[in-house]
Amino acid sequence: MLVLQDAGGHTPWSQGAAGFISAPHGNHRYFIGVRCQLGSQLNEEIAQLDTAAEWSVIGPDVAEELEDDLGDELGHIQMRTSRGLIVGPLRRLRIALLADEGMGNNVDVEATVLVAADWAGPVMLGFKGFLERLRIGIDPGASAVDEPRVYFGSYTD
Amino acid sequence: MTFPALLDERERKALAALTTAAPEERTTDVREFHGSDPQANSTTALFILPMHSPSSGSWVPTDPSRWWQSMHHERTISDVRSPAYLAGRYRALHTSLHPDVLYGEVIGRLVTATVGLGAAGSAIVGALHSLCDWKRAEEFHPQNLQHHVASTPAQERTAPAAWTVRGSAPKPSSASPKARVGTQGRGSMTPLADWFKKNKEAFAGRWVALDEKGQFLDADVSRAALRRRLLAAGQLRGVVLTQVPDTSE
Repeated sequence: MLVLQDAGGHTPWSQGAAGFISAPHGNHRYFIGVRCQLGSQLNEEIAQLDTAAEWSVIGPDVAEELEDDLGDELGHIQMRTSRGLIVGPLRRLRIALLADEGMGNNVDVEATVLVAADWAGPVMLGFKGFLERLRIGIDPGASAVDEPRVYFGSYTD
Repeated sequence: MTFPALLDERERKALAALTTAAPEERTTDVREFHGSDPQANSTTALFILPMHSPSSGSWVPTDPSRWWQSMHHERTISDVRSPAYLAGRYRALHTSLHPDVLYGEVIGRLVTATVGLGAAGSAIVGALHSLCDWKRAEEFHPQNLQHHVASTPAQERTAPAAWTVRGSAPKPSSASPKARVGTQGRGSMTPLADWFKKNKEAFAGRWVALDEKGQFLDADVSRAALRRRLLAAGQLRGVVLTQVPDTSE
């Protein structure tokens, strides 16, 4: 758990942490691949955490599995990606960032995601509708002793 | 009631054009007001205001008080609350301001939905919130609006004067849902990362299932097929499904 120290004292900044996978080669580039759980699905996913992505994105396979979890359409948008232009509706979906064992708690986010029928990449966790709703810090684990890790937490207000 | 059912084909197309424009290309802006009537019981209304005509390129007056007064001029609060009146008045206002009434019609319908449909209307407003450019939100800060109402002669502000602005400054809808602390963490990314390092070339482009200890369970080119097998075998819970990066591209 990270603690914020300021003039007012110490306050918890994050509630959970997890390692991330980084496989910077090929088609699905997991620069920061984090474990997450979408909606009520039983399994877990490795999703690409991308602070530069405007919206989070799920493809048709995942959307089909999550049909009962996805909220009503909130309008259609298009988004430019490294794989070209993708289009689709924005829909609400609960996403849990999963903490590693002994590293605190998961964090659940009522996210808004772009459901793109022509998206063949991994689940993307972007800024609008997801990252903007939680605290997140990235430690690339560049030193010899540190592990690559993301720290995440909810706001307490 | 769902969003598409509320709008006709023309309106759906207009809204699609609005929603698919990149932020920098958007020519219509949307704003929200909260209004309350102290003489009626807890009346609250939302007004979503288009600011710019995309086809004519002309600006609709941005002074919120003009909209406020136009919407409520010589009308009682109960009339103002009528969705039919709101929609009709809104359309008339747009028609008088510029020839392109399409966006006004769309927004007018949405205002109607907001006032008349409760939760469904709120959902629609939530969709429009995602379009908002809040950089200029200070223009519509309640304090600024209150200042205008206070400085306008009473005879010029019949119904609007009965309305006061309440609540805090508008916030983007995205700011409202916050993250929550969930259950205690379990499993770890470390064994998964180790598996990736050793096997990513052998399984490039395929979907794989790994348990929490990084043990390989199954693989397939089809995620759906892999998932079906795991489900049938009672192995799906807690398993990580992921597509191995394709190193050939």
